[in-house]
Amino acid sequence: MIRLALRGVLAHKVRLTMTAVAIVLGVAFVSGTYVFTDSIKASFDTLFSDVNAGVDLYVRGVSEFGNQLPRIPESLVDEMLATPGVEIVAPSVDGIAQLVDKNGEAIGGNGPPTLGFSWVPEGEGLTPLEIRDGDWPRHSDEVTIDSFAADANDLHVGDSIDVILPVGVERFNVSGIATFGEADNLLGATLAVFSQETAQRVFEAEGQVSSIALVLSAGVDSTIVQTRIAGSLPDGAEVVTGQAQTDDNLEAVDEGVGFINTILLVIAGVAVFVGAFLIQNTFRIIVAQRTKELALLRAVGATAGQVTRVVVFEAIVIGIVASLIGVGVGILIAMGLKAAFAAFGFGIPASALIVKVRTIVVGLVVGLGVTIAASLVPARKAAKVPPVAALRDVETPPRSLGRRVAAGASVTGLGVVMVVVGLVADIGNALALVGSGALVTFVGVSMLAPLVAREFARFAGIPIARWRGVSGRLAQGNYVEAAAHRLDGVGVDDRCGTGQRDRGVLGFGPCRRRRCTGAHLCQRLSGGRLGLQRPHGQRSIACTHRRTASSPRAGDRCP
Amino acid sequence: MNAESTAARVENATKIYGSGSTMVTALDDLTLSFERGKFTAIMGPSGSGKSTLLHCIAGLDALSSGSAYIGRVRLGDLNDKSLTLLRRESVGFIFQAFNLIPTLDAAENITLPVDIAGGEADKAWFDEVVATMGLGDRLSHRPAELSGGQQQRVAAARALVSRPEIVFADEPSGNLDSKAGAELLGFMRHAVDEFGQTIVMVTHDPNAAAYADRVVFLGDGRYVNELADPTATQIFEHLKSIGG
Repeated sequence: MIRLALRGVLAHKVRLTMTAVAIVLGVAFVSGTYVFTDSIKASFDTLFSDVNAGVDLYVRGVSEFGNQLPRIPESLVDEMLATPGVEIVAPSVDGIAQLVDKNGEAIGGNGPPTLGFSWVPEGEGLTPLEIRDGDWPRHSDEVTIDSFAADANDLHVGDSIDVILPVGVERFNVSGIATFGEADNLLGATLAVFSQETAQRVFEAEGQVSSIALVLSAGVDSTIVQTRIAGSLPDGAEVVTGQAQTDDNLEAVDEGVGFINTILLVIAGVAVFVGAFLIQNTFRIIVAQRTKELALLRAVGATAGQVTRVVVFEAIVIGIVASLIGVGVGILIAMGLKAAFAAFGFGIPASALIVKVRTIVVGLVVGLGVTIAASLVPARKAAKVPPVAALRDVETPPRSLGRRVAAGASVTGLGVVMVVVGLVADIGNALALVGSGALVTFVGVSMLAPLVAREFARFAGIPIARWRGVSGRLAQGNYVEAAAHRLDGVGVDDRCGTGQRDRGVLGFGPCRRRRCTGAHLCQRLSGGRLGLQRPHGQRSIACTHRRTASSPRAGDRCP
Repeated sequence: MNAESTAARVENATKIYGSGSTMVTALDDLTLSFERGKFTAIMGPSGSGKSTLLHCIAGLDALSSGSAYIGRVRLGDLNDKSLTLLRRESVGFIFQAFNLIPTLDAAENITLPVDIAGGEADKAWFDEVVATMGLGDRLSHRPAELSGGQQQRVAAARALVSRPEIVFADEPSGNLDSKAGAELLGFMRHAVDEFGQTIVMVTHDPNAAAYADRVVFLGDGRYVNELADPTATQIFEHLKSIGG
């Protein structure tokens, strides 16, 4: 039976490939998102760890209510210097500083932060920043800027530049251009680095610093020093390990990366959702096409469960292949995203792409899960094919669309209500409600599709009916039923190959095409007349013919 | 005829399709037995119920009333799963068309019922059946690469390979030219003579029916009469006499 499923996949590989593309894309977005964000986090992790590796302890303000850390008195710098075991004391002052380009336009600031730092000689090697051109700002009129802002705005060492600061706009000379590790900037943030005195003045931090990095003497137990310092710190200040500082930095990065994650996962979700519909539709068509084959299996002894498993197993094969390809494409997407972000000035420190086991597992679970779930309904339908269908043309009685219409209309209505409420009402999760409402509407409309198709077919068939009389009306009727049933997934396509016995008189020839596409109209000229496929839901073409044209040759299979 | 020598039978079998003004009585209180190890043909005009009889006695369709038996098993007592297992173990089929799974080659089609059952084909028996059907050099071909006659012989081999209690054939030579049809029917006759296989065949072709040991005539869903070991000419004359 497994062999049968595998052969089934191969036999329908073109159709399945097209369907699998949707799954591939969905999985690719999911895995690409994870690879991309994992890589970003990993590179920052490396960067901050490198930087903070040299720092044993940090003295900083205590956060109140999750706000930005308050500054601490500059006097603590001298106290730290006097603390036994402390080798290097590197204070830092930071704030907001927005660069202005040569045309007087502010650089950046639409989203990513515009950061200002202080630099002290003691901090050499303790900052993630590296000088690319020129030097650090050693005088009060100097500023060092990030290389992306410099390159994008044609700024060089020696140029003067206006900077918007808490104290107003001031003009500085560019003393140097810095990179953030190997990246041109920090996720799109612009950087302005000043000397400590300047930073304290322009950030309105006279007598204050933002944090103090401490490097201890060799052989000193940092826990003892940390405890000692903690005991002497005033209220509002704390001392943490370099590792704790790294973790806090990474947390900030995670928040920055979070929005990218959300956007990409939403795209992935849409792709997966659409993919599920395509997969389900494809399996419905395949099952309908294979009514005879499935009936034969039932006749020679396959249980309903075995037939279901054949179809589901086909889905599993497709799901695995599509998901694995999807993970591969996802890695390519991550590489593309990285390049795109770099091109748009969102600097990301260089690092290898991180493909975690979790990424592959999630990709496989999503791809496989969606494919299997989408195949379940068609698979159950396959199991319901009666074995007698292999021997004769069993007519599936035309199904009343009533229940489907009612269900479809309800679901569509619910979706529309959700969208409207989301748009109009003043509630917290309006966006989520509109989004899920749109999805529900989509599902509802697709449930109504057979009805829409039937009415459309009736309308579109009017000219043919006028033009061709009896055969035209039959064609219209065929089209109407087939359109409705095709979308409903009931066995229609296979009828094209089974009309051999129904050679009518008016030139109705059996359609010998293995696969009828689209309208199932199977137009072909037979004796100069419009050839027709057996109408669905009627015993045979001869019957139809007898009913419509009083043929002397009534079909032998007519009731 | 006692139960031991009966491979299959129907008792008071009635099958009604549709309801109201479209109601059709395909089988009308029919009682009939098929002897073990014999080749029986069922004939009758269109609408006489011969195909319906085949479907119902083979467990592919259910009777409206009455009973159908394969061996000692009453089909009406079985649920879908048991009926499926019965078909798998005790019944072989040869249909008029669409006998083979297009994606499997001839050998795989022949062993399909065994594969479905999760078993292994008896190699010696498989070889014997394949040799009998003259398919030795065609085993790795897909159905699309076989002639109509070869396809039907593959179907016949599939029906025989699981050593079923009974093989049902529905117009097996209906889509074949006379030479290929004669070949197929010759093989079926051979299976009855050599292997003691029981075969019940529905046909409207006197030449095909002439291969049978016994030809049963139906009309309007009822038993009309039968001929023992007839020639094609006898059958043809008989059909004319009963107005078929």
